[in-house]
Amino acid sequence: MITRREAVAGLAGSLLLGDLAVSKRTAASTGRQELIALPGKAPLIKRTFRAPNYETPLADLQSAFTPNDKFFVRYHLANIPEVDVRAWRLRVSGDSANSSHEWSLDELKRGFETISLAAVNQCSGNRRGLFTPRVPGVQWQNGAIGNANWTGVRLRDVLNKVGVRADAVEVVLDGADTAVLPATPDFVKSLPIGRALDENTLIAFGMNERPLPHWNGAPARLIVPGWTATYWVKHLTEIRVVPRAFDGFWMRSAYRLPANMFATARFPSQERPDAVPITDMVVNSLVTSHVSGDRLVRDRPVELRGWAWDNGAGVATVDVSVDAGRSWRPATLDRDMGRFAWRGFRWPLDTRKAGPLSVSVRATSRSGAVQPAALIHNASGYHHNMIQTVLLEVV
Amino acid sequence: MRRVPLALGLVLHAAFVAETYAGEQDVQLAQGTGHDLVVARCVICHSVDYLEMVAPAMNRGAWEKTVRKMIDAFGAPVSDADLSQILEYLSTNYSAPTLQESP
Repeated sequence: MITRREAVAGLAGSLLLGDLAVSKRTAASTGRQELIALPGKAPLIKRTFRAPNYETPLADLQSAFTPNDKFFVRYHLANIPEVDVRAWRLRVSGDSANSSHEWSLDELKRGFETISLAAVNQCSGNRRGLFTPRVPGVQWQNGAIGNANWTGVRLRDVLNKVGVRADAVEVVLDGADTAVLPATPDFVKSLPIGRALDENTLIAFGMNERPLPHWNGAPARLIVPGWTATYWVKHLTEIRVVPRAFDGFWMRSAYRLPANMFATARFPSQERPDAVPITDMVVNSLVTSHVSGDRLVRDRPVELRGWAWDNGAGVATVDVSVDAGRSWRPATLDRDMGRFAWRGFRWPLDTRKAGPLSVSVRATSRSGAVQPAALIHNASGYHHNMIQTVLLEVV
Repeated sequence: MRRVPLALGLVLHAAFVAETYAGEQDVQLAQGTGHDLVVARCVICHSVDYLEMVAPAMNRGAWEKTVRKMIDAFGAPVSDADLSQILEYLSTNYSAPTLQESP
């Protein structure tokens, strides 16, 4: 029923610019990784059994669309029911809704226009395990991310069916998963009404042309392209349109950043002078073709490849430096799969000279945002997007 | 099937018997004073592999903050007497020796 094999990771996937000694120590302390398959999923890197947190190995992040069975799994709370699709209903109501209504999955599919879009789904804390100094929380490395083609209906169309009043401030979203203890706050999130009414915010039931897998939110989950995955509520059952800021633990206390640390989207109704909610993703990139420690054969042509993504502004350029960031040259970008999807890049590695080869990758968004050379440290370990450097050797 | 009820033997929490996920029973925790208490309280809501995972980021102060969050925000049934024993166990067995205590 459960397949398990132990994998010994070599060096960590990437060593961080200017921080070599510390990163090597980090790699040593996370050297053993267990690959374990949840029912219906391929073997993934197990971070925790319960609540289930599993990340995608780098080897499975090579394709433009991350396969459903290899897509990462992230839960806060461990009571995760297998939802019976026939019994499942989505209830939409609230103090700022003109009416309330319930839909079955079939009614949802029949009642509204079906949309598909490609979008990156990334945990707010992806790469938390690469933070120096270390911070508590799930110690993700690079794999709490995936890109998929999501199919569903617009949240906007569903909200307009019940009628959104002019005083609406937020939309509150709850899923079927719950905590073990009644005293533990249920995982409930909210979105600014503007983002909820955005044409790209979907209630998705399809993932890569298949039904959503159980562990990724079956039968329907929210898709908030450009925003971190905490808002992509799984096993969606209830939506409320409300005239005030939602005060639940997962909004009020969790997923917060110091104010003015990141130039990300505003969420005014949830902002406080000291702390603001995490919102959209920061510009970022990941090398998938190589990891630090890889050896290249002299004079054999080989490409560095990977993905770059941002908040949906779209990737403008991906630049590569082989001189520790003194000079940068543009990599070739692969086809554009939509502004919310990740964008492939490739760069021919120069293997003419034997010796060490340090390759740094830096993505720039059409918004003008650029990956920083140094980590922007924060206590919760969010938005790790410092420039990645891969240390190779030509032999 | 996937989950196996775990007999906790806790009268106080009999209404909330933890269901474990396949594999988590194999997680071995360090022996020592407080081991049984940590197992009894923590596994009500989550597997104990969290302990080893976060250890490199923890010291006594960080554990106190974390366990207090479990009690205050998440409703973990941990008494004051439990708390000091749990903190002793966690900071002895699941902390990074090199991590500086924050001022």
